[in-house]
Amino acid sequence: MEGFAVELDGVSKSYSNFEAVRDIKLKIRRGEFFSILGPSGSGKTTILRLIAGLLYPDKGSIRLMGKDVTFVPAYKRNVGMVFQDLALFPHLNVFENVAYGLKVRKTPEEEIKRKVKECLEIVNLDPEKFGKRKINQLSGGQQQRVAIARALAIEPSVLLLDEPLGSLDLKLRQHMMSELKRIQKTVKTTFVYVTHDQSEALIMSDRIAVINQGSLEQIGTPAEIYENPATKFVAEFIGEMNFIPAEVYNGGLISEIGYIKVSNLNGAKRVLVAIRPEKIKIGCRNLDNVYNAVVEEVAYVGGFLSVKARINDFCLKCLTSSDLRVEENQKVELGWRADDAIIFEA
Amino acid sequence: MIRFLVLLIFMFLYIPIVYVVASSFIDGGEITTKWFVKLFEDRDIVRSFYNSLSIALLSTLFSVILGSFAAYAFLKTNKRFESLFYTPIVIPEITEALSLLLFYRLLSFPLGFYSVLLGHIAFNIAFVFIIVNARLSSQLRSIEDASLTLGADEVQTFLRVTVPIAMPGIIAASLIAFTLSWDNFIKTVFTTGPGFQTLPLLIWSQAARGVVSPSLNALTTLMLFVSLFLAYLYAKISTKRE
Amino acid sequence: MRHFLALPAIIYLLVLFYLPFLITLLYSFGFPGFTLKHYSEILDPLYLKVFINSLILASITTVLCFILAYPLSYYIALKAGKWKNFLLLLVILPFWISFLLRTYAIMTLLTPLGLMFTFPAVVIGMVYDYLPFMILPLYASLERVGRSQIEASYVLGAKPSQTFLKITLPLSKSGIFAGVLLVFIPALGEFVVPTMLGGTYATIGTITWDLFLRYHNWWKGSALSVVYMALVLLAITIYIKRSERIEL
Repeated sequence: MEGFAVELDGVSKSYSNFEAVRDIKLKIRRGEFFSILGPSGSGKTTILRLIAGLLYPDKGSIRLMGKDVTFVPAYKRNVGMVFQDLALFPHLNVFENVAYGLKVRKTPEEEIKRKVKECLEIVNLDPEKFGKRKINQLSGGQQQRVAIARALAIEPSVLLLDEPLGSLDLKLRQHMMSELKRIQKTVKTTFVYVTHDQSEALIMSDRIAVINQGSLEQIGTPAEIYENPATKFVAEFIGEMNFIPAEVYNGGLISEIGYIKVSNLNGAKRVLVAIRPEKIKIGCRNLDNVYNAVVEEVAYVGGFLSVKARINDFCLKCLTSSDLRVEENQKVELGWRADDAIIFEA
Repeated sequence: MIRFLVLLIFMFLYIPIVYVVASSFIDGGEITTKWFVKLFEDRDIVRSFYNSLSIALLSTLFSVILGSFAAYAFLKTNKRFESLFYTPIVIPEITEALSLLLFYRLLSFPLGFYSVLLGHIAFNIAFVFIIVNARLSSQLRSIEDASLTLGADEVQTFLRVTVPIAMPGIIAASLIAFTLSWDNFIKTVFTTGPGFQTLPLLIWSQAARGVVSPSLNALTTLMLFVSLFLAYLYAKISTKRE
Repeated sequence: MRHFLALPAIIYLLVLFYLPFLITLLYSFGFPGFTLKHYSEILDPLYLKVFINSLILASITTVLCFILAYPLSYYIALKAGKWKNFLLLLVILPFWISFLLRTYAIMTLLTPLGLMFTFPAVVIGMVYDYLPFMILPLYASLERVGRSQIEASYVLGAKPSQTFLKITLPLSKSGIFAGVLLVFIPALGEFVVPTMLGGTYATIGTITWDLFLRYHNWWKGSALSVVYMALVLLAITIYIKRSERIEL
């Protein structure tokens, strides 16, 4: 599909005492599974509510499917939303919950029945079995499905999901993640998914926007964001990362662990060298950077070893295949390729 | 031992009530309803009955509207203003009643039906607020947001979502407000004027002299049944909600 | 914006609840003039005796209510088993019946017993009316104690009596305090019971009634009411301070 489902242009929103989001520019493609990822309080829910029309921005404009909706109220936007606390209607049964949006649109009765059945089937709830149930007779996972079906029933131009899996336990969460992905592929609607959980965002999304303190840090595919974090915050927030403070010296870097060879310097004098634990190879010599280290701690994490190794007095986290034999206090050589390190201004 | 004590205490609590009810049906060793028939023949009592009923109904109506809107407005968000509604409940009734009397006197507000009604509404607002507020979940805000995103405008959302969800709390509050107003004595006696009498005032005017009479028993029984009926309705609604 | 929906109720209470209290305060200082004489008159031995009378009656009522309510609440909370809800219902039901009716009910029993217009009659009436107010908070706090703490105490080797003194009683302290307050404060100003059952037994409540409705002495009545209110507010403040500390 061509064009964008959601466009935010320079959107800012302040509450009485603080700025929740600042100058956000976002373009979400049609049919995309797009995640907004950030720590709690970073303003990601505010962005979602701005898109939904539950809040209006102080500055900037919002477009939905190409049309300016900046100050259009929520009920005229045709945006589906799955709330953090699900916000199901406790006085209505499952069928009535899903039918609600169609009822207020005065859809013919037959059409409502057909649509509700279809939506319940999409989320894998048997309409016969569950239609008459009260909301409080459902399990957490079933309530989740009703909330999604209810939002899908109005055939929204985008579906907004506000940390919908936060309240579920780990097993159910993993299951619902693949379910969400499946549902998205079925209905082909644009999904905008807000979460503070990086693994949810990495697994499900086509693209991710990382938000911190109300500002956009980076937009990209999961791989881009993981491999090439644009800012120190992104590097730190997503996945594990070692940061080594260093100073530019002679075309390379000097640091507590010694001289570090890097491939590209951006002109800063004091920098941070960021290197992912899995990029550090233990017992390899043909690398750009090799150091003598002492193993401090070894932990087995299902197929991998998480190793903490000390170079001089600096501790590095490494992740390596569990085929490798390392023990505590063992002296090892470790290193990485210059291309694998990322440089940030300190 | 403790069971015996528990039994004794419950007997202490309930024997007087059972005794009043029983004696209102007895005349010289025979079972009769004549005391009740006499009640309805007494014009004074019938008029007081209507007065009590209209005060209770009207004060319930107004206090439920005002108190429910206030509870909805705050929805557990504003503790500072909430305490405004708690004071009328912890303050001893007599001090509230005499303050109202002074207020009316200062304004030369005529004492009677309206002065009593206005006073009843005041304390009922506080009770309605607290009951409705306790029963409205803070989730209501996001439920309303959900309704808005599904295409219902503010008015539709209020009528289709907010009101039905708040209804059990509002009904419970109405029942309590009605009961409080129906058998209120202290505020009524302080704020009423010549010629306006409710059933509790009627009972007081005779019982305060220590007089026990069969027709008074019957009147007490009647009022008791109204109260118990309201309590029954309340229990029914509360259990249905679960 | 939504907060404006509360405005009518707030204005109503400000005008018909809070403003009248302000007026009472004004009257107690001799409105429309200004004088402290109404307060000094309250310190007169005659009124002092009324205060003492009220204190005695409220104290006796509170103590008797506590003695009766504690075992009852204990039983309902921890021993009643399947009867629990029914017994609780029996405790709550009297809340739906006004003091006037309940006082009349006990009067019909006191009359044939020949106890009317005696001090014991007033005490019986007071205990009868206020007992549920003591039971409910006690029950609520004992309910929270739960069986497991008591069983833990047994397992650790404490005898039932020791368990009661060292575990159950301290844990129900907040309920005791609330119950005492709920009974003592209104009992202090009670006037229905002393008037109906005690004839001439004077309390803060009956004197207030007389000053207002019989002698129309608004000023002295207001002063008396303000003093009573001050006592009430003091007790409530202590209660709030205490419950905050218990929560910590």
